[in-house]
Amino acid sequence: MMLKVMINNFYEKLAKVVVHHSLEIKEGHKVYIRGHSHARELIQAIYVETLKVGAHPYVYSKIEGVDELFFQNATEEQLRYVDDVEKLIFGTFDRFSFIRSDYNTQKFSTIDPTILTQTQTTPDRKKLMEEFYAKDARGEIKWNIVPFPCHAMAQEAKMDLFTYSEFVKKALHLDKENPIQEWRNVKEEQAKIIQKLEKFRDVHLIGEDTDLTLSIKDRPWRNCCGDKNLPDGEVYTAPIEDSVNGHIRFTFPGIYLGNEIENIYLEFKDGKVIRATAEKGQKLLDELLKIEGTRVIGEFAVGTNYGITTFTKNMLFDEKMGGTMHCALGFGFKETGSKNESAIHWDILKDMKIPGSKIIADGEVIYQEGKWKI
Amino acid sequence: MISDFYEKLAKLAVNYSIEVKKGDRILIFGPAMAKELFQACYAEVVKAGGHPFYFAHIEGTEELMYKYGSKNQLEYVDDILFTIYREFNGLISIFGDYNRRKLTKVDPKLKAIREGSPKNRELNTIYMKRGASGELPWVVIPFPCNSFAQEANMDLFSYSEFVKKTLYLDKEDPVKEWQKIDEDQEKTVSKLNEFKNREVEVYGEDTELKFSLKHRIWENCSGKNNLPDGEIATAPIEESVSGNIRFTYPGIYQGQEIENIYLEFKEGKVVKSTASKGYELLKELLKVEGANMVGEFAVGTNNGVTEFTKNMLFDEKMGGTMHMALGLGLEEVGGKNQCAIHWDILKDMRSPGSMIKIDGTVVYENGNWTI
Repeated sequence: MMLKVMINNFYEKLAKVVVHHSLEIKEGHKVYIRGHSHARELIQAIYVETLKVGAHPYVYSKIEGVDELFFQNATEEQLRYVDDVEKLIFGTFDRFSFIRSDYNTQKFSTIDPTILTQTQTTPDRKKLMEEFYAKDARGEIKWNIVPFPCHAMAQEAKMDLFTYSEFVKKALHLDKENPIQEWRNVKEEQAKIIQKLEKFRDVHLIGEDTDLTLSIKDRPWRNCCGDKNLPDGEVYTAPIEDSVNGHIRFTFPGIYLGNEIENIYLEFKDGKVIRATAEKGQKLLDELLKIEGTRVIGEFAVGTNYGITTFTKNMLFDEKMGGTMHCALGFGFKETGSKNESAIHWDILKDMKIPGSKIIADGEVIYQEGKWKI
Repeated sequence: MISDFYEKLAKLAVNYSIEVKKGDRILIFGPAMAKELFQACYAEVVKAGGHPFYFAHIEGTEELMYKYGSKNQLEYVDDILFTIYREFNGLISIFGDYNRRKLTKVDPKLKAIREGSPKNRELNTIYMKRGASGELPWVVIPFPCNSFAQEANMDLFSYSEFVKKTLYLDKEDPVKEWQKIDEDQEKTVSKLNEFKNREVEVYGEDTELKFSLKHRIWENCSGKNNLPDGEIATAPIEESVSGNIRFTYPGIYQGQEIENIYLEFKEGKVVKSTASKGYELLKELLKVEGANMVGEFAVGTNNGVTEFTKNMLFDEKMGGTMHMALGLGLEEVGGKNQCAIHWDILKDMRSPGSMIKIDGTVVYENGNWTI
């Protein structure tokens, strides 16, 4: 009985969603639970739910500061090294629960970005992740990202931790009696919308300073309903790469590694950005557009989670915001038929609740001022 | 950023105790609360050219495993651990806790299932074997924490000062200090090992104990496996122990105290035992197979350990004390006694009249070596 009291209801409910809805953990599964050591309560809660279904939880908790020390002290050989233990984890486990939180969102800001990308793209690590995603595509494994409300994220969102936790709670539907049922409902409702969306071919996006056309012919849509991300609430596809024409203004700042780019405006011709302006961060925007593949849109998406009412500078939440749409410049997902390759996938958001905002598909208004019309 | 304390301790563990070399794969494990020490050890391993990997245990998960785990889950040991124990080149175990009594309510049968599972035993065998052969050097280092301070009846700041002194971290170059201890102790150990018959007599308050070592040797414990360290240890020929001894410090078993322990031995076995507090527990312990025989006899040599803190990593090293362990024998010096427990109990040897003789020669008197 003490445990019921000790593990806060928030974490217990969240852990149940992760274990039973997102990851569908079953007896005998080897389950990898990774999170910062400060996410103790959530780690404990997921650990318990995993034990209760008869699976084998394995906790990898990250110690604050260790990554910074690694990047500051490691030689190139050490940076490139991937231990067999890590290969064993990503190669033999059945379920992966990644707990997302931070103690300092700017912790890597003094480290040369090329060191960071080098480490991520070292051949061994690339191979490891490619195999991981291939297994995922074959349905052999499941993974999920779930947030742990913490001060660093609250600070980014300009909130105190208590207010922020309430925000997270709503975004995750944990304020409801049965969150798992809520996420199942999201899945069903979105499935209906997608069924209709997949018949369309030409999309016309209209809004403040925005008139953009693109083709989604034969491109599949994805239903994001709490399987890979929590919170969730998004449907997305990938436009035919060279079909994008026109212009768009993004109403929310673009965030890249903690840096903000404000009031981004892009002009496209035959799928490529031909003009890009920003009120703040123009230099960074120019830099980003120099990376191969970032002039092309890899993702076109609509956020459907109306529990997310504020922009918190955290893409795990922001891109799901109900009444917004987002585009990602760069890498596109194979599941949606995208052919665009890039080292980055950078989401930028636009508010669609503003009067006059709409999405027209094959001449039919399908979305208007933040709501589906189909 | 990393305080001097942790940096010096990490340097000791990495460069002196397990001597990390370029390319070595090193496991650092301990409670997640030992953040600063994890950081420091991690940085030192990276600086030494090694590949650190760490396990930080989250508070409460072990208790939850006992509460919810089935037999199958309790017995489970993942292949990851076998890979590490078979292939890695060193282990650093950070010893700290958030609650020294966290497992007191766990059914001992469940503990036996978990600790005694075939896979766990197999893992232990690999660890012992590779540890003994030098392929897998390991060291235990302390993380000063409130739980330990509480056991020692101190606040954390006083306790940290205490820990600092016992590790010689208050000195400029602790590695040098431990090298010196190693050398000095080696001299004493070689003199002790020169005695031919190695017939040992221990005298003190209420104490007159005799045993033989025959071909068994004394071992120099100088910070390779434990930090702090400072101990010269051996294992008596099991059946040669006879006489009586009174221990002046309480015996601590899983946090419980047994006071004023007195034991009488005949042909290696305890034939009489008394205690002024906790006698029931003492009787229970002596019923464990092999626990009525001596597995270790040792002298503590660390004069920085000035207080009894109910933590054996420190207590048994206290300068001017001796200790004996009932149960499992020290294998590396020839001990043969088999037992599920290895329970150390301490005696102050600074009180007048306390001495150790070997082959009739006084080698230790009133808390100091005389050879």
